[in-house]
Amino acid sequence: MAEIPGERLPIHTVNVLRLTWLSDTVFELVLGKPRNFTFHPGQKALIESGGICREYTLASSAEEKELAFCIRFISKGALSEKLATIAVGDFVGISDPYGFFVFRPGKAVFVATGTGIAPFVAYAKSGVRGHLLLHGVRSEEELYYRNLLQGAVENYIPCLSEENSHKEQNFTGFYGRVTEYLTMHLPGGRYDFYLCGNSAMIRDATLLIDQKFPDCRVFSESFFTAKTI
Amino acid sequence: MKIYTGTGDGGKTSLFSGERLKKNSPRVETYGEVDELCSAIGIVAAVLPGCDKQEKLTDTLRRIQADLFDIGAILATSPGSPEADLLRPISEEKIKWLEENIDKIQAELEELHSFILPGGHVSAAWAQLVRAICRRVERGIITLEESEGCLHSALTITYMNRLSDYFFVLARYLNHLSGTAEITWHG
Repeated sequence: MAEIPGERLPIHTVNVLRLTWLSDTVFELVLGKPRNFTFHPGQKALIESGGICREYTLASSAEEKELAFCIRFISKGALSEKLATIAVGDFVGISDPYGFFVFRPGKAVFVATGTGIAPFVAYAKSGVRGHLLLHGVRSEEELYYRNLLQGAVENYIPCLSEENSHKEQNFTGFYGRVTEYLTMHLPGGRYDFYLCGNSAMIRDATLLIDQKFPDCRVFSESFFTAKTI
Repeated sequence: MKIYTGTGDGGKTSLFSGERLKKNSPRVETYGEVDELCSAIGIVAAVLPGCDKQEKLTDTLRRIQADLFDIGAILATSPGSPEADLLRPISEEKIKWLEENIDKIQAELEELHSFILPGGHVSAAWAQLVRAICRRVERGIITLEESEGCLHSALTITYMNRLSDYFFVLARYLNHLSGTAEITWHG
């Protein structure tokens, strides 16, 4: 459990296998898997390039032979800008996996915003089934991993938060924020909530859970973006 | 990066095992005191007297702080929850390691023939406060164990007991290293 800052280092050198843009601002970086690299879905790792480290959650199952990361491109971002233009075959550093945002058996509700979908992609690829998954984004083109999640998760609800968002034909998700969905549609009960996304969503969802779903468990993983969704 | 999340603005916090508890619940109080203890140890490390033992002592204090992170996680986990498997309990070896450290530095000190008052060099004064916080944490764990239960309580209590002994001896040692006279109590 003890995690002393500075003691976790990008100890493996791996090569870049693929880089795929999932939307205008988000890309998936696929790296080679170091030997003896084992992890639990939901864990993260540090990626290092040019002496700059940032942590990203793995969006792969433990069984896959490569490691996928879902990364938001941030203009002038210390590392994401560099990774967005990295060439296939280049090398980056990667730490051992760490973190405790792992699935515990129980009746769960998964709530993500933006690239916070990554741990739930890892869960889905690992065979975690039968739970509600909300993915909050501004507009439909940001529903990266939609095809995979629609096929792998029985109850996947994309939530489009953009006001004046034009209503897509045949869109089967929810127009509104993930917290609005929880308020309007989730029946009372005992759940394990897993929240991953921007800090505003984590705060609003947690306070809502305290009020509407007392006696539930909350696991959260927060990240910070320049703009909240 | 912002460090505030606002998730505790309603007066509750999340345990490592996910439950939302009021911030004045005994469990949160107890791991909060461990946090206070860990922070006070940081002060001792920051004000150690400059000498050839400084690096070794700093390393020992950092290791203790890491152990206290583990203890904080143990206290923040409800007994019976699946998260218990993710914890790193305090081991017998850790306690033995503390005892060896106590014995090593005590061997360099004169025998104590009377009570001493906390104080002297600033690092020694802080070490005495750390010792007192250890005792408070120890009492908190016992209370928690009796009321709601506490994972790995036996070895954790032993560790805290030995840790307070370590800081008593360390306080004396820091006065010794800095050439500061001990203040004896003449009741």
